[in-house]
Amino acid sequence: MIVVNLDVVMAQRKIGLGELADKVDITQANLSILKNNKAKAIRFSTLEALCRALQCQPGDILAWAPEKEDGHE
Amino acid sequence: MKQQRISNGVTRFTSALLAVMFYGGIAATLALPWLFRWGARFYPNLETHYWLNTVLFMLSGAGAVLIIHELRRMFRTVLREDCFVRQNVVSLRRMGALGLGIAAVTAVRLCVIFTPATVIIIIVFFIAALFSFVLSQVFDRAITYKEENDLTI
Repeated sequence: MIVVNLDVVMAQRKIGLGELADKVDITQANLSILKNNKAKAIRFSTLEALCRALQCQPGDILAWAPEKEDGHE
Repeated sequence: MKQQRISNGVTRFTSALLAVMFYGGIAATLALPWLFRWGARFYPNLETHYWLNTVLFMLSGAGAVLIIHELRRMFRTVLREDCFVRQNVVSLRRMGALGLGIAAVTAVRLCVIFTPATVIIIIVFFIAALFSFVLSQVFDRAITYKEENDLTI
């Protein structure tokens, strides 16, 4: 499964949800969905905007992790 | 602006029409025993099979009222601007089942009094039921796509 490490990068950059949402130009609700791994997909445009705002690579935000055995995501 | 005014007018008209059809349908269905007694003066066939006709027409009437009830429920989701919900798929399936039920009841009526209009009613309700089932499948897919799109950030 793909894990979104947005909270880690945000903590490293010391940036809040509201400020990042303003910079990326998406709603706080959508950013929260992304941060909490509830999103089903991410647009390249959103990923690019996040990388630009956080000055990082896509790999810093997204990572792959094996599925848990009990089936819970 | 003008387009929105027309749209609001159509919405209000549809909502009012559905309400009139729903409550009018209930009243007409409940009044059928008396309406048939009165109608028998002009159409003697109603007197010949009075009870059978009354029961079959009341069943059809109840089915039609339930179809309008589901339509009103769906229309409320349109007014809330949240119409792509699973509840509407269920409503469309129920409407299809009710349509088939009405067609079946009307087919029984055909055995009592054969009229070309009754055959047409059966065909119309059968096709409407099929239409409703197909539409429910389309709606189901649309909701899946919408949910995916909503969770694409």
